[in-house]
Amino acid sequence: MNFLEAFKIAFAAIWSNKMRSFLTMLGLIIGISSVITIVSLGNGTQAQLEESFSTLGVNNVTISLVRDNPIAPGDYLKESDIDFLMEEFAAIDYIVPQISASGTLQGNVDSTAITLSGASETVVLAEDLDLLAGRGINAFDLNGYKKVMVMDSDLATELFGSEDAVGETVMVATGRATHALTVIGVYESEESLQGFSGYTGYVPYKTLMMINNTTDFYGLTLTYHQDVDQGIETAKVLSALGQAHDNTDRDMYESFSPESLLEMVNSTMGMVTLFISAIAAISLVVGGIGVMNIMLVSVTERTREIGIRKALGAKYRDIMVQFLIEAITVSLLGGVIGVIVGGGLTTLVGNLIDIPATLSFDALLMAFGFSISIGIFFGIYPADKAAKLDPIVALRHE
Amino acid sequence: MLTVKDLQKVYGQGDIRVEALKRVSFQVDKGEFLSIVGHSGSGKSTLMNILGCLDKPTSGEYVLDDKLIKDLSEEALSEVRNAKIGFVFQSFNLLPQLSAFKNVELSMIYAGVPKEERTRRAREVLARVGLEDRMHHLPTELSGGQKQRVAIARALVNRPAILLADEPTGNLDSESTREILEIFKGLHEEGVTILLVTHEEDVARMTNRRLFFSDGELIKDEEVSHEFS
Repeated sequence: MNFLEAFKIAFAAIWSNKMRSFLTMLGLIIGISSVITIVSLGNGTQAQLEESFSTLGVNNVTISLVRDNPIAPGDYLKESDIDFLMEEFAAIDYIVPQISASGTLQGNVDSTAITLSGASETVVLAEDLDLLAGRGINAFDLNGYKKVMVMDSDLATELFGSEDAVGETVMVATGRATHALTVIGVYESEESLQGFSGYTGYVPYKTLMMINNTTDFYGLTLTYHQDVDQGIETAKVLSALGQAHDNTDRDMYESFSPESLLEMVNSTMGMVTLFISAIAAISLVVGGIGVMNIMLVSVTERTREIGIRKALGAKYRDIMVQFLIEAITVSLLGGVIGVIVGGGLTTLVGNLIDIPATLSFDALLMAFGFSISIGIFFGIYPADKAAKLDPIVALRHE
Repeated sequence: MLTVKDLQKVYGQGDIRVEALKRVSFQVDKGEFLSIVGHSGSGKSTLMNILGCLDKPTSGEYVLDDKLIKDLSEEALSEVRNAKIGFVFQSFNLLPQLSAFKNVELSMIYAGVPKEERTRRAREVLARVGLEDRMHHLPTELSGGQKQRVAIARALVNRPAILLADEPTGNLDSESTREILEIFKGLHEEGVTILLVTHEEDVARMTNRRLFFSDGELIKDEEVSHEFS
């Protein structure tokens, strides 16, 4: 008997017991759709995180002082370190020292907190800013200790009613004094991972050194070329800084990169997805037991049919294939419905929690693989039982 | 063409031991139309099941078309049932979910006959039993006599060496009985070997030879004269 005939027979049998077949499939539908939804949402979340991290600049690595260790005056990073690293490492495109000041905006604003970050002429490129008006910081601003500022568009709109705030003056009070900063550029506000965390603005780092009255930095942000092995370069940078500051023995500098964070997040997400999928897989096993149960019922109900088929010359293999294909058809149909339901759920939940979840080909392949395996695994015993029936006993069955 | 020698079938053991067939021997030639007659419990159904390769004898030999049946594997027995034996049961034994045509097609599917030939042969045998206009009806849409005609068509379609009919008219009214017996008679005239189990004298009288069974023993083997029929 060929497979097409067996499929036709299987479909006829399933169709003649629609309700029962559906209930049998339900376990599989729930299992498959859960796996599909979880995997798709997991992938969507991962993609979204990757997208967020890419705005942090995946080519950026931050070198900072280990604050847990006692810091000696010679350990602080200086402007001379920037010159030294730029000279020694061809892989580095830009270096911006980490310096910032928390300030209070003077004027009629809802939220007065502002964080001023030190920047150089590279800030627009390094931070991947989207300039809406004006320009970025230039060497003249930096070296001339100009009191200028590149601000985010939310703040510009809040303060001046328009994104085009170039030329306006902002009054910011830091601990020691109030400073008048002239707006030279406005960039589009980015939604950060934590949501709104106060207004931001960039000021030439030398100006900020003056405002903060310091020559020390806690850290440096390095921007590498596109295809540089960050791990290797960063290790070299750390060791060069250790030698320059003569503190190699105390491990005073550490590095942090969005790339390493991304790897960590990805592996955590992967584990969570795997764990939840494993739980969903249990429901697939339960669904499989349902398939086995209904197939055993089917064999008992159709004992006489099996007897007739054997009397007409059906071999062990014919009956085996017939019932196995029926089990596979039930579970595969459950799989197909599960995929459809899972796809719907993915879209629905994805829209609700705002995750761009897409049905992955892997998840589809897995769903169908699972369905067929369940059909075979849980269908073999009932099919074997049917195929081994004694024709004379089967024919006498009422 | 069919030889049975010292065929014995025993069910159970010890006190509940029942000897359903007691060393039965006979021979059937090609083209014979033969009836096996006996009351219920006489062993005729047991004999039928053994001849149909559905059951195995406890001892003795059964040779069908030069094949010694007891040496065959389950797989080979399936092939014999498929190719050499055509069954007609008292209760028709049609698959209710399949049309008359599909019921007839079934044994050809197991024989691996290609689709076009299956269609051609199924139409041919269904026409032979007068059901060409009812081919696509389900068994529930057919009368008893029509169902039995489908069963006969199904039994004939693989051109078996022998047609085994177990009380084929047992569930039919007299009109349908007459129709079915006419078909058997026609088949016999075409040279088909038919072995028919019955407990009805009228039916047995239509055949050419009668084997009388009682308590598992073959008690009489006689030719039937048709001078007055």
